Amino acid sequence: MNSLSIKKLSVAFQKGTPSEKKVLDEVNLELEKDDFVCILGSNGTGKSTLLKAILGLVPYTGSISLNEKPIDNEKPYKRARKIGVVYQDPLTGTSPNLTVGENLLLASRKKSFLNKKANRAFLNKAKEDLSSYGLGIEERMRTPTGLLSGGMRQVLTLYMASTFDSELLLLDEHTAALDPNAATKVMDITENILVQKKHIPTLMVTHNLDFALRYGNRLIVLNKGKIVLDVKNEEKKSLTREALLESYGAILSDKTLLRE
Amino acid sequence: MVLNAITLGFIFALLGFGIFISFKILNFTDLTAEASFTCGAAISVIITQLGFPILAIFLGALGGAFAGAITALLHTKLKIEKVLSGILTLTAFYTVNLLITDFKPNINLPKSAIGIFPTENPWLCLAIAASITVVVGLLIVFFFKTKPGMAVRATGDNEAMVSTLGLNTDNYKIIGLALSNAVVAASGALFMQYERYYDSTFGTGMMVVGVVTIIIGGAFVHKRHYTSLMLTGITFGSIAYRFLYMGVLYFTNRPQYMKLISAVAIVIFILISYIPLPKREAKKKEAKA
Repeated sequence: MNSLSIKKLSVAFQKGTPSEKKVLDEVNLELEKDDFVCILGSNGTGKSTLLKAILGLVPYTGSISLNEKPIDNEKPYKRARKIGVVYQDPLTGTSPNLTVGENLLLASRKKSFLNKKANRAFLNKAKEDLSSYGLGIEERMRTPTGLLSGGMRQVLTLYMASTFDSELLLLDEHTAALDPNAATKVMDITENILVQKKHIPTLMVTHNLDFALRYGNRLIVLNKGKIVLDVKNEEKKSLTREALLESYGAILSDKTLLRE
Repeated sequence: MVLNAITLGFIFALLGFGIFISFKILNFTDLTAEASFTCGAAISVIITQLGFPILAIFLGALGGAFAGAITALLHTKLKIEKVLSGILTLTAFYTVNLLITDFKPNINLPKSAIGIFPTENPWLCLAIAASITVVVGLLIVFFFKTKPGMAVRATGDNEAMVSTLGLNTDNYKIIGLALSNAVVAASGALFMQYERYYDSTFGTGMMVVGVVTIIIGGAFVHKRHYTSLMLTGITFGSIAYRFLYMGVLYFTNRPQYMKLISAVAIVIFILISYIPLPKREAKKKEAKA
C-alpha cells in the first residue's frame, strides 16, 4: 500500500505569461509506509516547491493522495493536521512567547478545552520522550521557547510534528541552520523518532551529501523539476559518495541550469 | 476625589486589558477599540434607561465583540490591511453608534434610571469597579491558559507555526479581536454608568489612553510573558494614569495639558522599563547558580 502517492504533479510560476517557469514537471512519486526519503538537488530545482505543493501552499496541477485519500481539495490548515513539517529556520516551528509545555499542548491536536488531568498525563509522556534525547529540554518545560537554543527548538518542532497522528513527515533542510555537531545530533534524533513511531513516511530535503548517504532508505535527486535519480534500500547502500557526486556534479555543471 | 480617580482607574483598566489583548498578545494594531468603547457606552445608556443596568454591560460587551469580529473578518477574509480594516470599522461604527442612540449625540442618564454604581456611596462604587476588573482579569488569564487561548497567543506570536499545527489562524484572530473589543466595550459601558452621561465622542483618544496604561503598567513588570502579571501591572498603570490626570487638573485646571503630559509620561515610563532588574532578583539568580 502506498502512503503518499503523487501523480503528474506540475507547478508553474507566472502561469500563462511569456516568462512562465516550470518548477515541477509531471513528477510521479509513490511512498511506502516505511520510506525515509532524502531529496537532493541544486537550488531552484523544485525540492521545496514539492513540499509546498504537498502542503497545499502553492497552486499545482496533478493529484496528491495520502493513504489512498485525495487531498487536493483540502485547505492548507486541514492538510497540516495530517502532515507534520519542520522548516530550516528554528524560529518558524515554535511560538517563542509560549512555554515548552504550552507549545506541546497546542501541538497535541486534542480538542480538550481545559482538561488538567489529561494535559498533565500528556506532558509527562512528552517529558519522558524528550528526556531520551538527552538535550535537557525536559527540565525546561516552563521556559518560553524563545530562550531555547536552535537545536533544542528544532528537536522540539520535530517532536511536535511527528508525534501526533501524523501520516506524513516533511523535513525541509531542518538541520541547515545548526552547527555540525547539533546537526548530527538532530539527525540521529530524527531517525530515532521515526523508528519509535513505527515509521511515518518521511520526505527530507537536504544539501548535505553525507546525511543523504547515511540516513534513510531511499534517495531522490531532482533536476529541473524532474526526478533524475531514485535509488532504494540495497541500491542506496551501495551508492558511494563519488558516484553521487558524479551524478550531482553532472547536474551542477549543466550550463543551462547555471544560466537560469 | 482620590476615590474617584481609583474607581476610574479600575474602569479604564478594562480598556487597557482589551488593548493589551489586541496589541500585545495578538500583535494586531487594532484601531476598532475607539469605536467599541463608544458602542459599549451607547448600548449601555439605552438599556440602562430601560431598567437593566447589568444586562446593559453584557450587551455593550457583545456590541464591542461584534465590532471586533467585523475588523477581524475584513482582515482575514478580504485580506485588508490590519490598520485599514480597523479604520473602516471605526468609521462605520460612528454611524452605527448614532443609530443606537437614535441620533442623539449625548444623553444624560435620568435620575430615575438605576445604574450599577450607587453614586452616593463612593466606597461601594470603588468596590464594584474593583471586583469587576478583578473578575474580568481572572477570566482573561484563565482563557489564555485554555487551548483556544493558547492558540490565540501563538497566532500573535508565530502565525506560521499555528497553521502548521493544523489550526485555522483566521478563527483565532476573530476570537482574539472579539474578546479584546468586548472588554473595551465593557469598559465604555461601565464608564457611562459611572458618569451617568453618554457622549458620542467618548471613544476618541481612548487608544492612546490604553497604550499609556499598558506602557506604565509594563514598566514595572519584568516577566512580561506572564499574562497575569501584565494585567496586574496594567491595573496599576491605569490607576497611576488617573492620578496623573487628577494632578494635572489640580495644578493647572486645564485638562488640555493632559495630551502633552501623556506623551511625556510614555517616554518616561519607557525609560523606566530599560532600568535593569532590581538587585533583589539578581541576588536570587546568584543564589540559584
